[in-house]
Amino acid sequence: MALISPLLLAGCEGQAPDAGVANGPIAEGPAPERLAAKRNGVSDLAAASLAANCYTCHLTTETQAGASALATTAATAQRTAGAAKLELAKGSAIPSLDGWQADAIRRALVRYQTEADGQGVMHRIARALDTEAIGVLAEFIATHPCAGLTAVCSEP
Amino acid sequence: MKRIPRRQFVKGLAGSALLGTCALAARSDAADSPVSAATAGRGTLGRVVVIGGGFAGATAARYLRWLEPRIEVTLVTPEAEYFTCPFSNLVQADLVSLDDLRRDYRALTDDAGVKLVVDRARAIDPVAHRVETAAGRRLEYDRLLLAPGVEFIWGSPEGYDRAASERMPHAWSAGPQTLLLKARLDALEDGATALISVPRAPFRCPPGPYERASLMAYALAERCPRSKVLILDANERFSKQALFEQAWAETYPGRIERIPASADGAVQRVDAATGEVFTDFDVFRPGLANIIPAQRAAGIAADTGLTDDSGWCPVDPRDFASTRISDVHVLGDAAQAMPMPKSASAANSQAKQCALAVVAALRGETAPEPLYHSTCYSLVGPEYGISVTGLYRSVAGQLAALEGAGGTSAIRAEQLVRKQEAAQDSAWYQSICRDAFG
Repeated sequence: MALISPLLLAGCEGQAPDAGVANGPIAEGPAPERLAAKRNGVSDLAAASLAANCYTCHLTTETQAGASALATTAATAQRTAGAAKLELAKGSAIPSLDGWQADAIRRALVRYQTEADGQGVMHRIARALDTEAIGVLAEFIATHPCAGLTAVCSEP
Repeated sequence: MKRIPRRQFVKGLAGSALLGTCALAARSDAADSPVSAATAGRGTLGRVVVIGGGFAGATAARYLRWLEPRIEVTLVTPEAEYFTCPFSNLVQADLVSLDDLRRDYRALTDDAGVKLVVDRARAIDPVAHRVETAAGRRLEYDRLLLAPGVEFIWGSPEGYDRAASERMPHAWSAGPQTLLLKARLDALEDGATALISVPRAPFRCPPGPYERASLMAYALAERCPRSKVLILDANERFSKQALFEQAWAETYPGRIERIPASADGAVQRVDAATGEVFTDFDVFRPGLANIIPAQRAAGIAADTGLTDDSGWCPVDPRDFASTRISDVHVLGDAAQAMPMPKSASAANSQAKQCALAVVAALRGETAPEPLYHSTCYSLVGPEYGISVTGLYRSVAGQLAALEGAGGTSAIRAEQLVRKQEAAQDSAWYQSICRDAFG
């Protein structure tokens, strides 16, 4: 599951992740089927289950600020000897989730839900989440940075 | 073979157990290990063998170790390196090189503690819970995660076999075939047609043939202005169809033609010697024939009895456990997981949810209800990206797309949006490779 790309926050490019995000109640959205985060009373496993999807796209090395600045150039073809070359390693249009506070994540996801005409990837995903799921996701990601996945696991 | 009923999970999971696990598993300090005092020092929690080193297998191995370092994970894969199918179409347009697609398993072994066996899994004994490799190794497991990918059905279309693929490359496995197709494309004479034959679905990477057509048209635009790309399609509709067709009209007008099945688009036979391609009523003599053969789950799945008549492996959508053999999970392209696509993104998501379920089972805990996700980007040109997103869950024993969520890029969008999605495609590739391979 992709999360919180500054590029998809209309008008927020280069700003802090929570800039311009409304603090109001979470809108219910256009009648989506909601996902409950705490079924079976197992919130931790469920949270990991939800958050694991986020890391697919957000395990980049870019910070949100860096990603925002680089996004306009990341897809720009560099023509060398007649061949275009994507900048595979230099820039990212999707930021790492490292360093995000839970409240910023929560508000950004709510914003994606409330932008009724939004058709970015994050808009499509956020509509699947209910208030509780967003809260669980935000807390989990804020306390489990992506870097954890790339660190050495301890041997038992 | 009938599946042994799902085990009864022990209820009463401590609320903070996994949060502690994930935070601490990332450290190398044994004193901070999530292993509880009651179980510390008592060896492994279980042995998991993962067969297949693609996105599903590598992700599953990595996440198992991240979630639960007490699980001994062995990854069996036939090669020490892996070339990703995602982004392999970009090779045709010189946007990346084949070397850019090369991945290895060093991070899995060195950082995540996965045991790597570079060998071909020859047989599975589901009664003895044992995998045998071509070199004679025997690996015992408590759980087996099988992610073998697809195999080509040679002879579909008729006349298309391994030898024919050297003259009419499929390039549907990244590697030498990718370079062979590119060589043919580079050698195409101006005015000649590049033909792509698309098999009847399901097949690996549903939007792949249409992205390939786009990038071939991009590659030919300057060098072969009179050439075109012809898609002979055994299907009526395809992934992101409206977006692709709009993009072709905008970007490559008159350069890409598609003939669907209903208009005699299904290729029935090929003649590699003459280079001819036959449908029911027509014969084509293209300058380049890219034949993508029909596909099914890789042979070891069928040999083990994991497939059904469809050629794919039926699974329980809660954890991708085989419905035919107990303690075996089938992930990625080999699984029968409609409506999820056979994509790297879907495989990555399946692997994570399966890893969570296996961890829960080995701990005797309750597995979470999974949410599966797939986002597939396609590149129409270097600065023109489109995407489709799906979210799925298990409903009454079936996978179902969540209503009200998911969908495709907007049909009407500014060029900047397409450019942003192209950039996101690149970022997605970086991230998912890191997620799977480290």
